[in-house]
Amino acid sequence: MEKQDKPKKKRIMAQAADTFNLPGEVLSDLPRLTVTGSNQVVVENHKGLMDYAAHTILVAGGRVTLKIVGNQLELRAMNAQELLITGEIFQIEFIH
Amino acid sequence: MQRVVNFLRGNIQLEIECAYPERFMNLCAQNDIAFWNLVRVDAITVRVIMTIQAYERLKPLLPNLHAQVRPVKQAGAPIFFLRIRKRYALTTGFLITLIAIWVMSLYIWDIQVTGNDKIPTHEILQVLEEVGVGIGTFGPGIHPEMLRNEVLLLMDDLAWITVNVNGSRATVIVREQIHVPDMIPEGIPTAVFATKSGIIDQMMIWAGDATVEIGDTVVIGQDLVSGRVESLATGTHFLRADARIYARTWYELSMSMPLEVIEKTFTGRTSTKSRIFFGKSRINLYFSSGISYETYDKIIEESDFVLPGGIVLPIRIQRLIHREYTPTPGMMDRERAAQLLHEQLLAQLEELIGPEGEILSTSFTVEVTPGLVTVHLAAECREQIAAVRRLREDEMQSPIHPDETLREETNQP
Repeated sequence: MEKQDKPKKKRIMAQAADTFNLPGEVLSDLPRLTVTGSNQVVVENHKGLMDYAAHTILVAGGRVTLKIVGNQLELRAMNAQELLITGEIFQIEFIH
Repeated sequence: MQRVVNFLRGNIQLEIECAYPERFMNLCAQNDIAFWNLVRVDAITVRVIMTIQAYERLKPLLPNLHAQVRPVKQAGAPIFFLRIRKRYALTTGFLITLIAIWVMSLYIWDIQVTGNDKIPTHEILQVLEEVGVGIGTFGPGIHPEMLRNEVLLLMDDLAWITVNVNGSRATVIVREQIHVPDMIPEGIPTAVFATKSGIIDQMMIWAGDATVEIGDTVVIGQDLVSGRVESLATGTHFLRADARIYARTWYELSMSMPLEVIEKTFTGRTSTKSRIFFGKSRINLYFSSGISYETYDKIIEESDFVLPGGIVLPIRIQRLIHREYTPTPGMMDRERAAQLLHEQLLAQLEELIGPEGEILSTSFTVEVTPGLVTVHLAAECREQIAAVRRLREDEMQSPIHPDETLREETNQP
């Protein structure tokens, strides 16, 4: 029953965010990315790491998975809310 | 700075081997366990560094991870102390050293004096010693307020003094008295007189009657401006004469120098003696203090022991180097001697005319007699020669002008 309610709840939250012009990540379950140049990316509101390698890092972001591709990627800091990745970033892909 | 903090807290490098190492990172993030230097060794192994405290918090969570966690390397201050805790002699020695350094840092082992220009440093240090501040004084026992009062009573030339104690170094900051010239109070009649003989070149009179004119020759002590003013309207009245009067002045200076000099020819033989100072106590690192050389130069080299952070230890090594030389009579070059005298005479002249004076022309003559060089300097300068003096009682009562004196005499019955 709970599992069936979750998507409905998310849809309502997304609609509420849209209606009240609120930032998407506040009410809906979305990650927020801050990319500085091509050397640093901060992911807020993440749900954990899915894969970690020097060339590819997969970050769970709720409704979307982030795929960061680059060279000499390094996880510099991580806590429950945000993580900081540095290195030579080539590509950021959103996987639904 | 972060590296220092991490060292003090102690850190541990862990190797985590599990089918899905990302789970370990997520577990740490969810439980707010910080880690750094994450290195992926292979597909199932990662290495991370975390603090000892973080590792202690991680331990209860590891059974759920189904992973093998192995400490690879430990470093930092807690690990060091843990390692040496059974080595009692070393630990005791280390603690004694720390305590000794701490105790010694409470005492003054180095005194620096700043701000003095005219008063010699050794004189200030001597007075400080008299009031109880010297090498080996207990630093926290120094009270700058009391010290200031005591030193200022003993040294009239000082206007202010303070002692800042920083570890084992005391910085003495002084301000010297500025001696004000003798001031003549407002309302006291004055006259302006010549401080030097010369020919008047320029006169700027602010108050008083001039008794000389431009082009007049004046001698030292002669009145230039009078404070007694005669007026048809108000009669005789006295005022505070003031003026700046420039005059051309002439100087004749001479200086001699013998041409025979003793030159040092170093033989190349040297002897070095060292001694150690612990505070004021001295330990000689040699047996005989005698020097076998007849004529020698003595060079003293000193080196202090300073710990990082500027803590000066009360240990000082002094090296006495003796260099033997043979005195050889020689003759100085005449031109060189004349040049030296020339420079010294100019310096003497500049001192005589002061910073406001101006040298208009100079003429040097060199006289050479056997074994002696004499240089004569004749110089023309321009300088301010006016100075103010208080009018004497008789000047304020009796008439100044001779004709007035004559008139008074003829009026007598």
